[in-house]
Amino acid sequence: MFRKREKKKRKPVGPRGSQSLWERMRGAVQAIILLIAAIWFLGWLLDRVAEPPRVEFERRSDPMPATEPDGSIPPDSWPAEWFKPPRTASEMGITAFQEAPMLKELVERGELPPVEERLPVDPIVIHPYEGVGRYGGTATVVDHWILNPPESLLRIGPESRRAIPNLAESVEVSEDGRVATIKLREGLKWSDGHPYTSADFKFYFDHVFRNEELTPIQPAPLNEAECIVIDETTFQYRFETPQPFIREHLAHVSERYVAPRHFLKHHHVDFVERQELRARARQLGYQDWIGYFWSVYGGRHSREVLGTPVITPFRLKSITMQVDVFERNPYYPKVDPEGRQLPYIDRFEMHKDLDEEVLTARAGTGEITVEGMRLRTSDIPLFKLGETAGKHETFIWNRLHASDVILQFNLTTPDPVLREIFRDVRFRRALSIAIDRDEINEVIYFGRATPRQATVSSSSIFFDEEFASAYAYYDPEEANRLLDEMGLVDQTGDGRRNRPNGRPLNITLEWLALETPKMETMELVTAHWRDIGIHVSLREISASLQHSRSVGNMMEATLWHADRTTDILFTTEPIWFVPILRDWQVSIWPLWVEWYRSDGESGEEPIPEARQVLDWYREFRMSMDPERRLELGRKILGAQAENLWVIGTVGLAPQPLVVSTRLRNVPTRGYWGWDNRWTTPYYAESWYLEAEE
Amino acid sequence: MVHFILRRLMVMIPTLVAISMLVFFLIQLPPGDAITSRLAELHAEGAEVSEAQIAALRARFHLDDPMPVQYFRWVTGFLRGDFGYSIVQEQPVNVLVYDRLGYTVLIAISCVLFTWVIGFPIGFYSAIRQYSASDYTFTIIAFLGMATPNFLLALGLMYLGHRYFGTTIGGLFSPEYMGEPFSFGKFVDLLKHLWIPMVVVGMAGTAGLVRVMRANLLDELQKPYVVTARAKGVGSLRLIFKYPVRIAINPFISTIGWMLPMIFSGDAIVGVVLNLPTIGPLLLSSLMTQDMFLAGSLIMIMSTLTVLGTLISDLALAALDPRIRYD
Repeated sequence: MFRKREKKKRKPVGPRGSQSLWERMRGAVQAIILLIAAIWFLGWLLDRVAEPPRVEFERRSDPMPATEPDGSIPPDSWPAEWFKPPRTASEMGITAFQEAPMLKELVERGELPPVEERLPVDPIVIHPYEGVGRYGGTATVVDHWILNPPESLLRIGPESRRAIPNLAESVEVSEDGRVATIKLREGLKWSDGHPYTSADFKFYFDHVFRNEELTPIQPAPLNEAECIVIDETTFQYRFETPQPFIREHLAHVSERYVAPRHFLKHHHVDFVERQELRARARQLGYQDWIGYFWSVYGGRHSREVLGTPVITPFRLKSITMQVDVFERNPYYPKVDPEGRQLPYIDRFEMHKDLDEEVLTARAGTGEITVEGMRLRTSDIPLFKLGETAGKHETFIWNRLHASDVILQFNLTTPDPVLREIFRDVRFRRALSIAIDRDEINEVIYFGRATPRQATVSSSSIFFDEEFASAYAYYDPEEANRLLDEMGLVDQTGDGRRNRPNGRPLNITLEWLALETPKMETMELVTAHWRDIGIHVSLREISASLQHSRSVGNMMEATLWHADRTTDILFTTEPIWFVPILRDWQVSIWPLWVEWYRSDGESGEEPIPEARQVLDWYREFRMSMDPERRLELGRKILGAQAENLWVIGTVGLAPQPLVVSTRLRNVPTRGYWGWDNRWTTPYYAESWYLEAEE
Repeated sequence: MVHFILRRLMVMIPTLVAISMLVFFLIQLPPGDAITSRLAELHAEGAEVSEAQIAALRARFHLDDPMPVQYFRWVTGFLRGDFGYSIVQEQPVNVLVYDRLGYTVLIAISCVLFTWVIGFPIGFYSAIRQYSASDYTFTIIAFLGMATPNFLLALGLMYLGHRYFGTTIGGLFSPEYMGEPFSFGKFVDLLKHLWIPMVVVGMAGTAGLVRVMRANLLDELQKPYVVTARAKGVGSLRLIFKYPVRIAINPFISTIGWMLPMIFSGDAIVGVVLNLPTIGPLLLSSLMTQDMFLAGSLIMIMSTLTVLGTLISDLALAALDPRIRYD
């Protein structure tokens, strides 16, 4: 057979080139026809095989939810109970408690004490968003805290303003603000059944926080505190200076201020021979006992679950390479209004290391029960499109960032000419009013964000409409006029303004791509600035570079997103408005911060306006008079509105939250951000899964 | 031959030492270090990071020691089989590599098999049926395969797999099997997902293989010795297999050694796109975060495998091609 073919090929005498064109091309033409036919047939066949059905389902979210004019969410979006301290079983008259079938089995087998003994003396009753749920089901997530929020002493309210009781029955702050007395609820238990008491807070404070190996430099405000145990459920933090905002601080991060003493003391150098600990650490592959202790503290080593007790709704059950499994905590101290112990969901799987695109695709096809953190605003249409399969719905929450992109010109930049220009308030105002915020809102945020100046979030008690509207209008002519007045004119006629000495005015803005749509925004903003003759070159840099260049005062300009702008964090760290922090996200005034921190020893003395702000801040931080605090906070923000230390773009931006149609009790609206710890204020422990059909 | 192997092994030592120095210093050249990358990660998870924690981390990983001291500590660990400690992931490198090695090798070997099983016969067939419709069909597919970026193919196949066969997007297992121990059902599930990386990673290789095989074989088929053999009446198939094919596969034998590092690391980009638990994505992320011990150790392992692979290639080539002698 081969021979015949070879002969035929060799029939024409001479080189192959003498074959007729058709003879050589015939095969090619046949091949192309064949391929096209095959592809068409395959497509036809596949479409026959699987046409995904459109599933109708009852939508929970309003496609165009109402927003207050200032961009905040109307408070009636959440149950009124959520704004008040949670009630307890005795107040509700609940006497009988129930538990999940999964736990009931264990109780019947005698492996677990009955539910009444596991719950605290007077359990916390959670008011669910929609109603009482059903036990059971396995959820799929990519961030564990979305269903397993931190349990702090206090909890942040749904509008990110006040702190309401949680594990602590009360937190009393003394009149001089120097003593915070915390009263824990009676009978709280760790997930292994051991009592959760003041001693655990004391243990954390003495042996973790004050241990110089574990915490070499101790952050405020605990660094100047003492922890004093009064009795099993009462303890105090005593501070050297007044701490008017200690309640907010405890609501935000106090889940970190406790550690299970009975468990961790077997792994701590204060209780175990250093030699022995080191040997244990070496055996597991750690370089020192510190690494070993932190892994015990975190409850995991490589693939091993170390069983460290927790107080959260779920505890880690198993670890595989790509999935961590969490299971309900049988000692969780909260119940629903019918006296059934929370959480409702049996367990959830957390899928790790997902590529961003894969994650988006999985969320958009309903394969993830609930996710928000790593979903992009620009993908909202994609998530909406995927809803036709009936597996998920896209809720639009609002990011707490007062501005999604916050522009910073370094007021202490090394170049003296640029520094002079940046320090001229006319320059900052001109650049602010040259930005067409409505265009940014329409193009990037589907018109669902709020154009505003950099200031606090709209739900803050310090908020004033004037702060948000200051120089946030669009007026390129006025901007041109201001810049001309400064002497920054185009001397060469190339459409770019020059420095006063005739040299070209070029500003380099270095930035790090993280969270929020920064690149898209900057494309528009730089175009707006080009229109008034200001040329800003963008340079995207890595995280390491952002850190070293920002802290080292090497930047001309940078940007970030304006988090820490709610009453929870603005009060303790107003980093955008007062020169107090020198870190990778703030490069507004590194040398002024140094001056403030060193009490004027080093750095550079700030301009009078900034010194004034610092004076207000010193008083604000310690004042125990709420009226005075409000006044000072507003003064600090007023100075920002006047001076524009930072320039805002649009804020309270839409944040997609993709929620399975089976997952209930999830509020359709909410604030999303570090300030309120994402899902924590929205009672994620009461979310439940409907039965699969 | 023993002498030859020994000499080659001796030369490997200075080569590897030079590579290790180069790797260690190159990774640290860009500004910043693993700690700052770690911060980015912590921040992305919502944690608040202070200067204090940075100082603590730097001290714990001895990052403030002079460079030669750090290098020496790392290299001597290597000799004991201790590949160091990943700063960003807070785990020993050994654990991280061991975790992923199985799947990496599984995927790589199935890709190589796919490439060979598909590529050789097609290349062979194309060559002896030059300019036929089937030759053109395979040629077009091969060119498409070479020209399409792997990750694009991966995205396309993932879409098709999800749209028409309902497979999970990315990964090697369906969610219901992910946390489970290995079972027959899990194995079947693995096969359902394995075809995508196999086709994606294998596609470019297959296409290249087809083209090279076809060209080499065509060259040989024109040679006078083939004509002579044919004239003497040697059977066509037997003739082709006995002489031209043996010479045509020489280039493959000489590159067989390169497969070793490939089998170890897998394809990084495809691994990332398809969310595969392989070493490729680990290497990529370690380089991006300047996780120097992890990246350095992975590159060192791959370099060692490359050097070893070259030796294996040379030996195999010498065994197969009588024209090559040890000297």
